[in-house]
Amino acid sequence: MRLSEMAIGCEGIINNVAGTEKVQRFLYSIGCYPGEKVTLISILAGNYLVRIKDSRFAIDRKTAQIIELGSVEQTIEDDNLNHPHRDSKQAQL
Amino acid sequence: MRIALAGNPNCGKTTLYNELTGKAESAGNWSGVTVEKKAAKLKRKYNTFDTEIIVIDLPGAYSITPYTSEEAITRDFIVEQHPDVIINIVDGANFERSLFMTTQLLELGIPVVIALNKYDIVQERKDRVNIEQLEVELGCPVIPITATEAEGLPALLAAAVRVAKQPQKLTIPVISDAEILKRHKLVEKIAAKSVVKGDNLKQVRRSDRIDRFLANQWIGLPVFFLVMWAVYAFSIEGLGGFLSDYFNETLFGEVVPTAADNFLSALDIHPFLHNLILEGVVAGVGAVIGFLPLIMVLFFCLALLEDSGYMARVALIMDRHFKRIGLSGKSIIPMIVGSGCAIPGVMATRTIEDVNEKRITTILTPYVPCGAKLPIIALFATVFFPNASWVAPSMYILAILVIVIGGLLLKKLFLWDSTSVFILELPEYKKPSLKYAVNQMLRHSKAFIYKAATIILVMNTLVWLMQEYNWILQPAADQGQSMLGTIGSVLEVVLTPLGLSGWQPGAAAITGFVAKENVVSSLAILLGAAAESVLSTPGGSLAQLFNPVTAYAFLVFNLFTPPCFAAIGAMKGELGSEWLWKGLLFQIGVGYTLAMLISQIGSLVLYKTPAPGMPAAIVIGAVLGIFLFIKIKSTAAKRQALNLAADSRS
Repeated sequence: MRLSEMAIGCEGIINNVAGTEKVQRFLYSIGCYPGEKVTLISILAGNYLVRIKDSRFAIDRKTAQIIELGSVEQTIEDDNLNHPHRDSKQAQL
Repeated sequence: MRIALAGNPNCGKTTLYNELTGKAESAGNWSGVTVEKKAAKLKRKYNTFDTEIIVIDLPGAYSITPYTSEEAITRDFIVEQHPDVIINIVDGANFERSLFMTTQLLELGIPVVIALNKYDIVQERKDRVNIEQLEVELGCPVIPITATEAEGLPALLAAAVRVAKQPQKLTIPVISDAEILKRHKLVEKIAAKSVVKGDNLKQVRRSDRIDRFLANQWIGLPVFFLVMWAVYAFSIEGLGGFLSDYFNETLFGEVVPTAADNFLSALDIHPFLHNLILEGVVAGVGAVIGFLPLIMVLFFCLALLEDSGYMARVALIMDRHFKRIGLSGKSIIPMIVGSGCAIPGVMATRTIEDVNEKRITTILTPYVPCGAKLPIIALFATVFFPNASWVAPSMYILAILVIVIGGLLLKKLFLWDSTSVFILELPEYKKPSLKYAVNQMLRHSKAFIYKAATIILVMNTLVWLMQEYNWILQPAADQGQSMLGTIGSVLEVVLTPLGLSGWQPGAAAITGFVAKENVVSSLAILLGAAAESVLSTPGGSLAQLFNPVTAYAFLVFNLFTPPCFAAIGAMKGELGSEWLWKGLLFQIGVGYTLAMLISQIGSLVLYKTPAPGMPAAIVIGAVLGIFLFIKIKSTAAKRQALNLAADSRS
């Protein structure tokens, strides 16, 4: 599953980061590398708001599509996650 | 001794630098506020060592392996210049990520001291950092500090001076740049050993909730406009405007000129000098300084907004809209910085990796009305549109429109292929610091006063002389025959299609290229010195030159043609000569056309009579339209030949 397909409130473990070497290196340096956890907090203004380690990043769709995730599970219990089309509570790749 | 400050973006480097050196560099809570290295002497207050200490602030980076051009500065500086010691600022709120760069810095062989910043947040979150353990793991001193409160700095400096004298033993394994994952594993191991995480869920949840509202897909943009309108209305028509009116009418309208007049008469100096000082310097500089309260209120409000974490969200909201015009949210940062001054704004484009996106942003950034353009806006708003609170905000809305349309046009005019990605770190929302806002306000006011006392003063003296004397240095019988009058008359020809007549508008606009505030002071001098009647009375002597429609057009002309020379210099630095010319031509074209459209269409609609210069305007409009059509066609053909998809991003 890609980050762009993950449901809001879920946490996934990064499997692979595709893209050019430069983009990959940058993503690695902010903590987005295989084996690390990433939580999708929200989708705001078309960008993916994620938590990586202790930081909050906005990542555009194009970049969210190159981040591939392994096991994904819902971690944030929700107050108002209202995205009906994204209801995969648990997904495996 | 030279101490370099290095660390991630937004870890507090510039805050620490300002505290240590007493400078007031622009700090901000998004990445890319510092794009150049800065150096200054350590404040005497902190220097208890008997040697001179220079502190160097480097731009923030997540890694010393460069990704953008300003990140390269950090590495190049350290490797080539060999500072005596590096203070690595580790963001306590982003501990693990910060350590990544720390391990890279340690390998460079220069003594490192770690400043564990934002220690107040660490404590608030109940994270527990085992400092002794961390020192053992990293093999360097670790000093907890809170830069915003200036806590822990003497200990930090003492540690820095101590280790600078002795080589540091490397306790971590050396890892090559290619093995980035191995480095992350190492960092994870160190962090696991020395930090016990507390709980910050409550704060995170609060930011999430605020974000769902403020950075919402649909209401984000309207909320942003509302916030900006409130800020500018409050600064220009509200408190700022009220105080500026007082300054202009009473202080610089009566008190200062009368006092200066009496003082000069008492000295019994030559009437020439007397008039030069009173009508040139006092009237001109006074006209500009009168707008100081307005500038102060505006920057105070903007600093509060920025410190709260909102401005970083604006980049996020704009990203999606900017993508349609071939830019990204990254372009909004130079533009927000540009609302203070276009020079740092243009320089901030260095954070943009994509070269086309960077060029377009550099050309569009000066369209954001900067602090120096504010007096022009305020002047015309007060004189021609009293009781209309929409005039000043309308300039900012117009600026956004010009940027959007300009971006689209540039995308069509020049070859375009974008590859950049948008990733932005968002700070948590917090209560803005009053101290920070006051500092920012003072910094901008100081710069404003300094400018008024130097470049504007000189220019005003020159303007006064040039409007009093003709080319053979004889007093001109009539202003129109003076040096300035003849220059203005040449420009009058060019400005006629904008519905403007008289030589004064052109002359004032020209002086604006030295510093935009000069447009205001020059008009004050040209229209007969008494700042009071020019600057505050609706329908005062300015009304001889403009009617409301042409006044609005003249305002637009000054705001949307190229910026002042200093900003053009900054543009040249970022663009190079060839693109600078393209950029300037584009800016002139846009500003001129826009002013022309407003003047001609506005006159027709409101006064039912065409403004003077209508036939010329039609001809110019037609020629421009044909030129654009041909140019867009040829670029499209070229693009097809090169097989670049112009809309690959959408």
